[in-house]
Amino acid sequence: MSKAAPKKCQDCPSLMEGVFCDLGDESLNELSTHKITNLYKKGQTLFVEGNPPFGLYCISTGNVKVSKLGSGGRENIVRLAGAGDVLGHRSIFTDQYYSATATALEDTRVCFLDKKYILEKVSKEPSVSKHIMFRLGRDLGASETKIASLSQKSVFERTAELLLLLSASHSEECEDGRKITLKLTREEMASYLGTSSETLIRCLSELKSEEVVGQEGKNIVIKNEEKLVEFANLSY
Amino acid sequence: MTTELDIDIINYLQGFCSEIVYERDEVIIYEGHVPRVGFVLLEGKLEIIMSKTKKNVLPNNAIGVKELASKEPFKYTVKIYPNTKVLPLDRSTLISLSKVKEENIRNFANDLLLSA
Repeated sequence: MSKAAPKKCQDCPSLMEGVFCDLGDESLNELSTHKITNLYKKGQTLFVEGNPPFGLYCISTGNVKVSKLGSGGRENIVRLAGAGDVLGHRSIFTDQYYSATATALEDTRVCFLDKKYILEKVSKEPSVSKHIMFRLGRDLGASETKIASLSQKSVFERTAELLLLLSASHSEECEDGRKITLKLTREEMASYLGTSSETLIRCLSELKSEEVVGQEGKNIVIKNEEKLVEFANLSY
Repeated sequence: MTTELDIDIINYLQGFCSEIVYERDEVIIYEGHVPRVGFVLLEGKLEIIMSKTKKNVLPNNAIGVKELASKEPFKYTVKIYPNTKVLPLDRSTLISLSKVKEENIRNFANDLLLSA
């Protein structure tokens, strides 16, 4: 673990986005002594689908893809998680083995709290329960939207929708618009959309020819968000 | 690297913790990481990978427990194979074991925690 890693939860850059944001200093100090913090390099797994859960993972910095293995060994990315998000919580509360695999997309600092400890914390600190429930609700809503999109929308619409999602969560202002900062390969983007890389590339080319998106090095830049919203055919 | 455990301690731990069986292979400890959980191998295969050499953990041996207690990074990578049965020992479990009535179990847990 690098020297730069904060030892105390109070110093975590994602504290206010996380499930422990409402805890006082005393509780955070206790949390700090109990947590195990590790730096996962790109490609390292936090946990694997089908294996038993040991606790909760809190992402301090970095990004993680959550994926399921389809038939033929094909990976399907079902969720992207970033700073402030928690992973592994569903398996703890449902007492089931992990239903997906979590893999670091880049250098990702993750804090781990074992199952017994987190279950005690949830029962003693209502704010932690509240924030976990919020995340479960939010993730359920996102899953429902994704299911509906998969059955009702074209790949082109879903591509536009994904770019809007990434723009909202992982982007920064640049000269031409908003640059998506999360580095996903074309294969990973296609996996998330449930399509082939070739089809995704065709959709991106079409968006580029409409001057809705551009490219800055390896990063996609959103030049015309209004048009992208139109192409995404959002119902809300 | 690994700690061989007395059969009495293994028997106690089997009553205290839940045995689990891994369905898929997984890297359970990355070199340079502090283990999230230590493991006692009951059956199957746990492989320690160091540089280009590999070594199997023997049954009834614990791995990662000392490092978990001391929060020291592990010096090797450990991979678990399918159908391997282990007893997981997380930090909360070690703390609970340090408070049980049985002296040998208390000593086992306290030796680990106090050496941290």
